[in-house]
Amino acid sequence: MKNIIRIACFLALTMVVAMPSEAQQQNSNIVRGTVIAATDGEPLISVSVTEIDPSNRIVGVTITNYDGEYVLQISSPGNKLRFKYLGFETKDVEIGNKRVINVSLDEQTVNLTEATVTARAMQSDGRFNIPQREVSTAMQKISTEEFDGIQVSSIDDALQGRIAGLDIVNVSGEPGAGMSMRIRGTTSINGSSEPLIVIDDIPYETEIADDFDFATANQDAYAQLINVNPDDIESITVLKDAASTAMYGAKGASGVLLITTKKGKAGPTRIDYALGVTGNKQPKGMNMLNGDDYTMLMKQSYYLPHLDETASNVQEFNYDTNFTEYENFNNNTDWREEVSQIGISQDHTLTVSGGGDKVTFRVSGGYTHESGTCIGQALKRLSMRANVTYRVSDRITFSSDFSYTYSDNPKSYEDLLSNAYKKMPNLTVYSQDVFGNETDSYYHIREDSKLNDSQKKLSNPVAVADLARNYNYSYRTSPVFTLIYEFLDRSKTAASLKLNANVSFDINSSQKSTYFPREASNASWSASTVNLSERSESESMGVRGDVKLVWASGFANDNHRVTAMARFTINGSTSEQLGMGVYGLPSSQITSSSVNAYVNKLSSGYSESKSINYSASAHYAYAGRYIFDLTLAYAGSTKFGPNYRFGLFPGISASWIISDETFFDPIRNVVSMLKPRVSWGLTGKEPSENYLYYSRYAQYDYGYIDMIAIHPVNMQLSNLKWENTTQLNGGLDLEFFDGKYSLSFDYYYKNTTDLLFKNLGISSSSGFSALTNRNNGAMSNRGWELNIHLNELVKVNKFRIDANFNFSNNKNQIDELSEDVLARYNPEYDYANGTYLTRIQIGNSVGSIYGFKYLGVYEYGEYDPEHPDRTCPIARDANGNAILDANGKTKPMYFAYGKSNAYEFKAGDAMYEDINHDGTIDELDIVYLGNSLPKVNGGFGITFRYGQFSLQTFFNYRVGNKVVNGARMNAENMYTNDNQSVAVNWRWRKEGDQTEMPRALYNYGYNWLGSDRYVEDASFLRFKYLTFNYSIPRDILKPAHLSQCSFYLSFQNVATFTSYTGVDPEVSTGGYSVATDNAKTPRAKQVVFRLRLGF
Amino acid sequence: MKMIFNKFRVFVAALVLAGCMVSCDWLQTYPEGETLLEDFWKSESDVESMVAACYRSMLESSFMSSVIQWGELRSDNVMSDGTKASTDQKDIQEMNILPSNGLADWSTFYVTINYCNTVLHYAPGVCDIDKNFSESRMKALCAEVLAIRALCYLYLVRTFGDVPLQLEPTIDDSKGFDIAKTPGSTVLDSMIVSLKEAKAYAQSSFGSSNYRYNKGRFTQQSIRTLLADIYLWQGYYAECEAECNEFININDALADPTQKQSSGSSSSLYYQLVDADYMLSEVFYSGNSSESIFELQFNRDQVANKAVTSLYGDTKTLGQMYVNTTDLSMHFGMSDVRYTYFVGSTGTDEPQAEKYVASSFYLSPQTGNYSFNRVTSPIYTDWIFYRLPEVYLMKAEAIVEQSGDEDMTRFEQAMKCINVSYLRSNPHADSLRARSYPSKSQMRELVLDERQREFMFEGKRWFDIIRQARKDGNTNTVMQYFSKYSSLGQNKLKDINALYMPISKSEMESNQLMEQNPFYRTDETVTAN
Repeated sequence: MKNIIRIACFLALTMVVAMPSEAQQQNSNIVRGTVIAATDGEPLISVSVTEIDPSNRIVGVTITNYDGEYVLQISSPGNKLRFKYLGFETKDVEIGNKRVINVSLDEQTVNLTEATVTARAMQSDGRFNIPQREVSTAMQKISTEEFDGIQVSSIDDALQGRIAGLDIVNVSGEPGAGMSMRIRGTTSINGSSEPLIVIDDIPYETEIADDFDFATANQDAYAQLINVNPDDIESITVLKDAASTAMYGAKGASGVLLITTKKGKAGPTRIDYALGVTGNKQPKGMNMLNGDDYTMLMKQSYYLPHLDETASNVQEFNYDTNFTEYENFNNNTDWREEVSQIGISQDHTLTVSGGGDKVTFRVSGGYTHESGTCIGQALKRLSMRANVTYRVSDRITFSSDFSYTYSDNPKSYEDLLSNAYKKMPNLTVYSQDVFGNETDSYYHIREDSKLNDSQKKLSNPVAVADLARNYNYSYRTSPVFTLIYEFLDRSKTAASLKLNANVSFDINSSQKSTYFPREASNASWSASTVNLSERSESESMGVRGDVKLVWASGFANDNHRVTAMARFTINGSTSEQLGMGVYGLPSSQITSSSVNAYVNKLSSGYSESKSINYSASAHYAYAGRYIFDLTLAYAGSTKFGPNYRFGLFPGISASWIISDETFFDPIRNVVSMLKPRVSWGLTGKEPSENYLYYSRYAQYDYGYIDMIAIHPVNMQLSNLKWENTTQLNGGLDLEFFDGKYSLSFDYYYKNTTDLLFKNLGISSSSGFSALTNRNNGAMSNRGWELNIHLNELVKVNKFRIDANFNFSNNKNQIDELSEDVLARYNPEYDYANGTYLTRIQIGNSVGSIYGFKYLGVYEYGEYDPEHPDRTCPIARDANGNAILDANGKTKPMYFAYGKSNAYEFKAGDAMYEDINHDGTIDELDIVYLGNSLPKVNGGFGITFRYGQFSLQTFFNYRVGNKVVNGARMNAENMYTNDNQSVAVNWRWRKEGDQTEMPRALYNYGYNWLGSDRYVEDASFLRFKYLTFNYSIPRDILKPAHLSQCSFYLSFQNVATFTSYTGVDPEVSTGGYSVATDNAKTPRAKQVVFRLRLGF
Repeated sequence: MKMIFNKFRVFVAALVLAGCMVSCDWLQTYPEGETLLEDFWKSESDVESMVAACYRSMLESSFMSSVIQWGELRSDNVMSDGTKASTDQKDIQEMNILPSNGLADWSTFYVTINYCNTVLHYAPGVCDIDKNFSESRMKALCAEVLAIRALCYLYLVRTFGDVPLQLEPTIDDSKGFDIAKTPGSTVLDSMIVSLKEAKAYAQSSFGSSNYRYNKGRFTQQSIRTLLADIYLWQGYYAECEAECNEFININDALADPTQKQSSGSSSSLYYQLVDADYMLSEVFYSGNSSESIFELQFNRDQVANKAVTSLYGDTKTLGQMYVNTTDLSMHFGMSDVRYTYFVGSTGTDEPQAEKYVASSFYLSPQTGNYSFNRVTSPIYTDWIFYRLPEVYLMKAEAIVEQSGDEDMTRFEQAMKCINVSYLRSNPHADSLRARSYPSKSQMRELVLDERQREFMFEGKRWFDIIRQARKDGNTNTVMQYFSKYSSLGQNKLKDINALYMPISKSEMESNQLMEQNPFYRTDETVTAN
């Protein structure tokens, strides 16, 4: 940290010292003269006269007066004077001994001769610019122009389905919710598999709290890209293979997203304004029972388990007018409807950019206001980004970037939608008086009700949305100062040696404040869950210094071209957290957590981490067609002890542009490019916690008697090391008809070893119940990717069709894990309803789902020898014949026979496949049911253009992934007081009923064991957007002083084609867990109108 | 102009140099608010604060609730309350104990054991660094730690039978963590060895004015009591009797007849019984009474005894356990005040245990029953591990076990010990006579009954039952105490192994060398595929 400050000071000092020393050089030399036009001899007014030093740096400047005269105090006779005037040729004059310099300027003559420009498209891959065609690693670049006109609050949404190998899944449709991103599969079981995001060469990281559990967390917590305004982004490059990410060392294992922001361009000042207005509508989910059907169901489900009328005599379901709460329980409320709304969003972006030879700038400001499709959710974001680049001379450039984002993201206190699905529909939203008139207070089930706790304690979602609060604010400021210095004089040599030094800061502050008033629940006023106010703040500050030297060869022999880089980066960041919570606040008007009440939570945290990265990289092209790249990074991090503090991460790649060989000449007009590539690299991942390698001692809050008590808090992890990922990539780039059609194919094999496991249980007799981190086992990911671009697929006059397609496939496999880790992650079966056995099995993939096979419902209770095929709960052998005992009697079918919770199946119960035909359904009948990871995913888009009209379509898809439809499980189990979907109206009611829906049993039986009944194929094809665009032709705009005026009308999330029965098949999975749909807020259907004006 | 370029060159050189000079040291960050091992273990005060941590870790409610429940929950003293009790507690009550039961979790004991091992590992080295830290001072501190460790192992062995024996601290991840069980008797034999050493070095007192240290930290006399307890469990009756005798002799020598104390916290090193009428308030509520030998010190307004509150209740709420009056009342004679003084049986609620949670009682003139003034939580009452009657009753038990079937002289000796606690609580009754209990089995039962009457709700009863069953080698004689169980439960309890708890599920999963306890192995025959 100190070192960074020292370097920063040094940088600043150098600048300050340099300037006055320059001033002292001045002498009293004064040059004067007159400027006239060569053609007519008239004096020229306001000619710019500048004194230029040998490196084209401006030293002094003046302009001529009415008579064309100027006076200029020069700093050195060795400099030149440059005379510049609009419409005239610029003229440079050596000063030398002359003190009077009269100049006549020639008028500009435009004489165009044929010029041949050979430009190579250059691409930055995070190291330096290399010609695009010489890229030998697996990377894909996408310009934001490709999805111009669509409205997203975060760029990852727009990227979805765009890049082969990048699987982006929406976490929730709530405003501000993040997207889960995976580049080439899951590489870590416990750690984050999210890619590293690098904005303008600077890693954009969020310090995540040490105790954040990636495997189980809902991933809202890392919606980091929400802080970048999509309108500021110029292009995104995705680095997929390890050879390209090796230079990011211990942070590159999950791939890298390089984001380049827009910069100012020299030219007249340009003002752009964009307006977007969006309407969001939540797709309708499950159809739930109304109050009347619900109470019918409940009475039956209470009655059936014990066949007892008194059991079903629950006053809340009886419609008994003598019941004091009668009016509150006789309704038909659609709770989902109550908590949903049409969301309206607006988005404004104003950009001013421009500049001259010396200075270019771009300043943008954006404001977004998005209201969610559930009540009470919103996102407000104010963002600002300013970039100023100052070219001091041909050799020195300074630039400064500054970005600031403020976001205000009120979320729901509880998961409104999933509670709305559960809430009993005969209940009223607002209390009703004895005449059935609604009052203005929210209705809560009385605490003394005999209803099941899960329903009784379920809060009124409308009350929660209106009264409780969950505010989230964040501020992020990231200033960057960059100095670029060219050591070599480009006029003398073709070689270049460039220093690029920058200092960047990242200041991040976020606050969360929640409040839950008593009025939003039925809990008594003294409960610790009500009148509860919590507040937490976290602040992090990162400072980064980065020095990069890039050398580009300028050999006379053009066959050899080398670009090489040496880079040194230091990074220090500190973060602090503070949290407090109080309950029992005196009233709902007082919501501050600093009021004197019962404190139930008080926490603070501090952590500091640093890292160093030395890296070197070279790109060599022989004859422009044999290409080799080598990268070496030597990275050190404070997260490890001295043993494993530094790691060496190499990356190597090569490619051969076969199409440039002479033998290719005959077919080059068809196949314009054929380039095989191969690469290999090693990258790492570090744990999220700090200080693991110390044995730390902390003081107990209170000691013993009057003694201070200090105890060891952790086990020293001296052998912890990086999670290592090696990746081998083979690729092929093909272009046809001069790049009109292009195709690229990649195959990769990724092998992760020393997987980091968090909180792995160890024998507690060690004094510790878990190891905070441990390396163990290996996992691999392999797959292929295909990208196809078809430009001008059809071209008839002004009509044009372009199309692009991408496909990617990934297969994850666990290769190795020690016995104890497997034992830990493979718990014994718990014989309970609704749970799937989570297992990690060697040879299988993460995210595998295991459970029973569901066969339907037992139609009859007794075996009838006349109809042996009728389903009834008896044991059958492998041929499906009833197993008979010595007396010729059938044996009943049991669940968990021999266990304390053994259960004999009855007619109307769920029928599970007795795989081993032993007459009992138990853990031995559990089979593999599928996997949460898709087999193929990707997207395709087709663009139609006609003159100024364009129509863009884009589709994305995932195929072959299974999802546990938890929402449906909860809505069809008929086990609790929770509301159920209309599907349960088809439930088994009497002997002989043929149905897939078992009978209703309140808190009884095993009708909803984790089985394939709820495991659904979540393959989908989503028509992601349809955008019409019309740009008014320039010649019409000119009189209005407009340079651009475009209209967009976009329909987003137009349609989803899927056999999945849930509301949204896009369900994310974290770590090793299975994808479970818990009725999250689905992705909204949107209509967007966008206007873009350029002045 | 050259000048500015030169400056840049210097600057670049400086940057590159800075880059190279940033050494490994720069990558060293230190946590705030925590001390590192490298900076710890430097002075006497470090050792002392770590010793304090060994005691302090026992105040954790997870530790305390295990101490109380392991000794009480399954016994005939209490029942689990139908609405207040957790599923784990109910399962135990119903003899439906699975390895997943939370009460099979022993981790909190090994945390304390690990602290103890850490002290024993590092403390000797501190003598070399801190010159003012004498060897004898170090040994005295280590003696306390050895005693804490022995106490933890005694609880573990009594609850689980065989347990892993850890005598080395866990500092880093260099060695494996899997460890097999050691037979319980081997564990306790090793604790006997270390307690003998501890007894030799421990302080006899922490100064007559420092009563909380004297009661709350291990002294020679309290170590002796613990040692006697372990001897008794191990069946080393002669050693147990000798240890008790030594205790009594030393104590009697301190007796000062001129300074007869009957109330108030005792700073004196002389242990003597508190009058029965004051026991509830002085021994259990105020704490540090003259009869207390070793009790864990909870600190007012700092560390509350939450386990006691949740298990026995407070002013507002009832405890998770209530008194099993059906079984318990049978063991009290008419004149015994302990039943009336410690069992709150008024009102319609289930009768409650009043030790530790009531500050006083009064005779209600209306009902003629005793009413208790329960304390409002948080409750800060200390937890008593040993008090004076324990020494006498251990001695009595040791004598009975050593005596022949009708050895009346020895029975008389034992009876003298039993009468110490009996007479206090039966102020108007005659002393118990050996001739009323003419056989060894009757004497055994008398000791067991007297222990139950004296120590009910103090986390001892279930261990007394196991100890009795161990002597018999079966549960036949203790079967009479299982009447609160269903017939299915009683059937299960015919297996003596069923008296122990299972090894917890998480322990089985994370320790490859761990074997499930015999009674619970049946469930393991079906292994998950």
